Amino acid sequence: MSWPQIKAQTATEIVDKSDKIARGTTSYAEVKIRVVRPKWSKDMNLKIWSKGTDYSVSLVTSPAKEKGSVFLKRKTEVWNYIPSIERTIKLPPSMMMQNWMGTDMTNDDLVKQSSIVVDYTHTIIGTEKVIGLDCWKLELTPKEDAAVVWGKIIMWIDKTNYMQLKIEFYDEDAFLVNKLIAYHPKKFGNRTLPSKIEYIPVDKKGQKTVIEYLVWKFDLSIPDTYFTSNYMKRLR
Amino acid sequence: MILKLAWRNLWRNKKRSLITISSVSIAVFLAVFMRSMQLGMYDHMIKNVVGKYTGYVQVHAKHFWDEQNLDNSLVFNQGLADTLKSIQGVVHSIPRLQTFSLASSNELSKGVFIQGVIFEKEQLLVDWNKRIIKGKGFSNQSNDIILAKGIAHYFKKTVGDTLVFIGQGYHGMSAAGKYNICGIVDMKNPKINDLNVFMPLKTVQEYLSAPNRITNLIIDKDSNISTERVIQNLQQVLDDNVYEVMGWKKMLPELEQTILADSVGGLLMVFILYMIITFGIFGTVLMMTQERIYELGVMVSIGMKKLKLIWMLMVETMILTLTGIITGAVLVAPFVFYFHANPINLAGDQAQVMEEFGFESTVPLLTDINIPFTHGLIILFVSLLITLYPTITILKLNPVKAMKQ
Repeated sequence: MSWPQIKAQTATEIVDKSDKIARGTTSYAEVKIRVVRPKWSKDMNLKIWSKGTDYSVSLVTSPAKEKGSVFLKRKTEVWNYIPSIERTIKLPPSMMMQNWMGTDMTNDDLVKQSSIVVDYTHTIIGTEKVIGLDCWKLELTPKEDAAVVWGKIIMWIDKTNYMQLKIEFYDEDAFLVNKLIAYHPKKFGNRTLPSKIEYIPVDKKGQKTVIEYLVWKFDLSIPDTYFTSNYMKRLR
Repeated sequence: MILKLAWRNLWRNKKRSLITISSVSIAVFLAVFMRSMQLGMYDHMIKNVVGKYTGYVQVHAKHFWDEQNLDNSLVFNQGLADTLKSIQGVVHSIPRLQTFSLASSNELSKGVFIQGVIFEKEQLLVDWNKRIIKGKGFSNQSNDIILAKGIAHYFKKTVGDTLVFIGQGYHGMSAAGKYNICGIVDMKNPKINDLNVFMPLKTVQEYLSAPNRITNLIIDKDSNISTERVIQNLQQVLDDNVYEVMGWKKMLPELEQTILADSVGGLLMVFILYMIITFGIFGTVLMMTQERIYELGVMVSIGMKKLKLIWMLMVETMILTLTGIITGAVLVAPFVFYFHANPINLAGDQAQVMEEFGFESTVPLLTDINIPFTHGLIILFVSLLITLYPTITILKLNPVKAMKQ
């Protein structure tokens, strides 16, 4: 007897598959980021190239004043090129916990993002519906030797397309710190992915960051030079 | 008649009178000099820090003082400027936009306090040409900056070099810019010297993506009108849901507290001085009375009214103290005026302490008629109190017993 469709998957396999779908070997995306604050909000547009989990580079295309700013992530380093002063800065450790471009994400979030597969042990703790889709509810607890900031992560991954629809980040004292909500699934090439993601710091009322994917392509060939600090000035 | 008697009595024992007069005058001299120096120091501190920099009164957007960031800034336009101008006591309003940023150059970087100012307007508070030790001022829309001398020293920069700033702008915009150093200033205040960078207001607004916005509005007030009065006038006109009006005592509580603490110490010294003087005068009066018990007994027995006697002794004391006070005040005047014109420069440790507190180590004396007046009055009052002694003695005087001695 065989079970071609309903093969039982381990929690780790689910997370791994979901992570791979959202990342591809390489990817290129054009995104609109809206930073929402109680009294104001700000929009910006970015182009992002990435390769695996270690390399990514993003270029700000608007607003006009920040146009041309580049952020480069190489493994655990973040570099920033600012065109108005024609300078490249390697962000010092002291700046890693600061907000990235005024959003609710920290520079550190950008760097550490990679490790949900490797650094955590995964358990399925139930099934729930999120935005009308059947989801696995998974609990991620950090491995003992892993250098992670969260005490626990709860993640909802949908059963058909392996989209991460909801993520809750808890600190060591099991307090909910950040929440991530994804919706508006769309077809990007042959993958279905949520086109809008909201990042919400729970303790700050009226604050959130909304990321909207306008273009999202996978498995293109991106030259390695894109991910060098010298190339930052020339990135278009 | 009593005056004549008193006068003659004083001349009867010249030496004693002279000693009393000189001790009183020395007391007045010392007290006035000390207070002039202390009050002069405070006055100088206030004028230097408050008058020339912070301003006696400032207007901010509401909540700015508690949370000093750009989100609590206000829009400064002609309308607001006109409104302020019409308020009694307001001479000028001087807009500033301040923010913290990271300054960097090659290997060095340091957090600095950027002050966006309109040079011509700042000139109304203090003559900047006296502060500039190198280079010159800037026009309102140039890419030029002025460094305080401590910053220039830290980055080893001089006029003509450039400095880069990176910071956070208004509403989450990132701020970055490269500026030319056009001048270096000595703000006569170590704290400001180590932290401040001055930039044209328009340039800072551009740097922070905050057009027309300012954080502090310095009110240059009419010196004849009190700070409190100006604050009241402003509060009546400005909507308190939008603006906050603050006096320097609220903005610089540590300055007021330092002054208060120091002043109390000074007053304690003066108090001790007065104690000594009080006993000095008391001693003289005591002698004056005891020595003359016989004489007083005779006067009473030949029919002089006791009240008149008391009156006479009182006049004697008054003449002594008043002469002393006037001599002291006259003697101290040239010193006060001299050191007012030629301030005392503290040296060594004391100067260092002063500078650590953020004050200049120069102390010009305060010339204020109120100081000798107050202290003269205090001594006069003290000597009046002392005359209670002869009063009581005379009242209790038994002429027979007195003459028997």
